[in-house]
Amino acid sequence: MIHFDNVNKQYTQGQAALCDVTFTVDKGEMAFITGHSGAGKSTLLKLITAMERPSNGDIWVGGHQLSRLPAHRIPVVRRFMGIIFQEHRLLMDRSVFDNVALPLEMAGYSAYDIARRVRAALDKVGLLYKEKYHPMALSGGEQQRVGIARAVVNKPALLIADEPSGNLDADLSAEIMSLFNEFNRVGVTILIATHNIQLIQPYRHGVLTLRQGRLLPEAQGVYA
Amino acid sequence: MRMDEKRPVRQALPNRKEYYQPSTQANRPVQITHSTKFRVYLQHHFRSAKGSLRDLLNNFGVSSMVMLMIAIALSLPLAFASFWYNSAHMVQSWQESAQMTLFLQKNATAAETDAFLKHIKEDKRVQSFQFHTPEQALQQFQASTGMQDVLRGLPENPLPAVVTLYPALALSEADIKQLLDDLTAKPIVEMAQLDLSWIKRLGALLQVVERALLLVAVVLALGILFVMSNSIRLAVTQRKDEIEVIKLVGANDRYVRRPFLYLGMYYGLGGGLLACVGVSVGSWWLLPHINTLLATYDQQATGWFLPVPVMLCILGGSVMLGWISAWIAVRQQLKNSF
Repeated sequence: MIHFDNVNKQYTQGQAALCDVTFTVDKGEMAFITGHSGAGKSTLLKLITAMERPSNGDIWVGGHQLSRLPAHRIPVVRRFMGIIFQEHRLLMDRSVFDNVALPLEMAGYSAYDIARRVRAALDKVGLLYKEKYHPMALSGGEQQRVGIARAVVNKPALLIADEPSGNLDADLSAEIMSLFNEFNRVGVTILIATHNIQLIQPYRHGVLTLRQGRLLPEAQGVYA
Repeated sequence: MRMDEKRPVRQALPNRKEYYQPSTQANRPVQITHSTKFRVYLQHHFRSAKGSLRDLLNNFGVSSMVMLMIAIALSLPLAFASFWYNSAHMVQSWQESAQMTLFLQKNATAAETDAFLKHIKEDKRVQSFQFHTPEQALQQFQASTGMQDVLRGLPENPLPAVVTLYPALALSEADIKQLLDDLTAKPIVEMAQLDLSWIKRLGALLQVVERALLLVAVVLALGILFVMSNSIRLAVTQRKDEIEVIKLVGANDRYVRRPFLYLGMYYGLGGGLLACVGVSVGSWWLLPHINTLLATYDQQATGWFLPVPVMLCILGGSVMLGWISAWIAVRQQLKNSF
């Protein structure tokens, strides 16, 4: 599903954000990326979501070669992945329903299908009864869950999450992790970037550890 | 998950179709047909149009300023165009009434003069004429120059009898020349003058004005483009975060651009309408005074207002300018965001 082949990323200012990164995440797998801040987690996710392009090396996501993808094809790739942001990034001038409906609108679903899918997604995150609210009126955890609903509403094959439990307390974090597990059980590939090792430890999933832009061998990762 | 593993990527990865298989089987698969896609596309157009109008009305202070600016920039060439349109019409009517002056022999008898005037009257190529006796000519000359004393000192009236003649409107320039030659050939006519040069000069002048007008219009259109794209850029930057989010959940550039294109078109439409109204009101206010002036030339501006096709052209043009400037403004932002 995701394959990095000797990927380097150097920003114009000079520092190397990623150095010779090679890994593969298979379809249906759930994996974590950890590392201290500045280790290159965000850069890695930006490369996967085509927000940045690699300086050299090849990136394959869902059968698309991102490193050679023309700009007008980027939306096509993004429509098959769901992205969850740390700061949830909801549109504050729209209701919860409209926020979640956004990816479906772009994909060209009919109003009937949109309503059906949005309600199903909101139901899954337990916010069905708040569909008419504005994101402003929700708590931090609820906002994050709306963000997750928006990411999964299009039934993406790949789910990318950047610090999904960044500002949440332990209970809410665990709740969100169990949501991810649920999605993983039905076949969604999930990649989660987090610096919170406690969050990972209960699960026996693959962990990629980044240190100063390089991937550590598995033996030196968090389980070592 | 595997790390540090080299493998031939193309063979190892499953093909694209396999990835697109629905990952959950909970609901029935949704069919996205072309007709639903088109309906959703139209829906987004409608929604963008409505949303942009709402934005426009919400920030009415700013948007009305922008429209006023556009209207001012547009009304200058529009007023010129209105002037040009009417003056071109008038010059044509002047051109048609080219004036010919015939100086008769001084020693012509009254009978000869009468016969000549009768001859002119019967000529179909002559629309009308005026006959001035030497005495009338002298009086007019005195009145216009104020040299009564000098003229009174002359032993006899030095001026000949004069016929001012207007050729028929339908005559071409060659026909007018022919008429002139025919009349010059008459023994009673000492000299004939055809006054076309000032009309030619006026025509040339108007062509210069027309060209200059075009130039001014182009420069002002560029100005409008910058003003509008700048104010739309403001709207775009205000919604920068929103654009980023929408792009990340899979919007293509056209989807992001659409509401702003509508905003640009609204600006253009509003500005164009204001300009048309402004120029119409201005010309309504000026019309009586212009007519007073024109009356001294035996002319009258009947409708100083812009003809409807011209107005429609202006409106269409300003809407298009709005569209283009919005496109430019959004392009910048789309380039800067991922």
